[in-house]
Amino acid sequence: MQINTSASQNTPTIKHQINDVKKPAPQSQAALRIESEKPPSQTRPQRFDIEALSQISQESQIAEIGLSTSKQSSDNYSGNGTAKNRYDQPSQQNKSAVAAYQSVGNQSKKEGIQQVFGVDLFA
Amino acid sequence: MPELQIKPDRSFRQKYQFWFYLIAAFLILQLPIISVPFKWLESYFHEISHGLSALVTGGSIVQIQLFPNGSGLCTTRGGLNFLISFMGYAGAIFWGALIYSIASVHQRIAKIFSGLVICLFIVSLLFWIRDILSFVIVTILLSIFIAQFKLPKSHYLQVALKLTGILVLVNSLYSPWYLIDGRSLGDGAALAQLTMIPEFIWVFIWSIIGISSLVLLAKKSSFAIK
Repeated sequence: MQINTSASQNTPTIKHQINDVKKPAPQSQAALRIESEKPPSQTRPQRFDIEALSQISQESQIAEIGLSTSKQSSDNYSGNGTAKNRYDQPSQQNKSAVAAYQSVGNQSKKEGIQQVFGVDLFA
Repeated sequence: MPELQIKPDRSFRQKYQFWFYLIAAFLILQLPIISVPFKWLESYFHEISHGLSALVTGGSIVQIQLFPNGSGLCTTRGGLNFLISFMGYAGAIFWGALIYSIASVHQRIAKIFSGLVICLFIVSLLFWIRDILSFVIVTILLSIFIAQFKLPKSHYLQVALKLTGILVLVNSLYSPWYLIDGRSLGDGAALAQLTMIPEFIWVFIWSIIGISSLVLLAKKSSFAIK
């Protein structure tokens, strides 16, 4: 999942990583196709390449964050399921719901700690 | 003739018995070693008043500590802070007056009340005393009350309880004045923080309550004769 955003990167690698991460947008896919037809030595940094790469890097960053949070659940699936994991990843709404649920649990823990130490002394 | 001589003498003793107890209490408190357990007793009633106030206002008692110098510490959780802070000194005054009043009512009632106080000591030892020093102090206080309870005649128990009550009350009159030390520590400082009313005002209020209780008991004992 390491994606280098520099323009001098070999295009086949990029394409492979695109497949791993997510189906790119039609515009960026086309741009990459053009890029891949050329030999690596003739690769020139062009505007659409840069756009595509930046988009890929953005997408890969999102995918990395998603994978780090859903790593546990992804272990249950077999295969080279990076993309699969991406699909299994809970939505932002679900994530916030889980976070809210966990915060309730943490709140009770906090209260427990406060109860242990939150005492008043009267002399 | 002999009957006529006895009657006024007995009446005089009854009429001024409160003042006898008061003088006896002041004298006992001047004695170096004998006065110590009574200081502990006042301290115990002070701390248990904090604790009971916490229980009444929905809190709980974590620990009660008593120290040999007559000071104490009550650790509570929850409850109404104002009432808990206020009831330390006021509670000790109340306990002193209550012990004296109940002992004056009837010998049987005095015995029952003494039994209840013994129960309170036992409950304190079981649930709220968590250090050895406090355990020893409360055990000594418990043994004083058990000794009083086991006195051969109920009349002796009454006398002992009355003296104990007055001793607690007189000690409660003294103790708030220890707060005026410029350190802003203790119940007065806590109340000052809660209410913005200066500490010395609270000391003054507790003193007024203590003196009023003494006057009330003095009046009550003289009315009882009539």
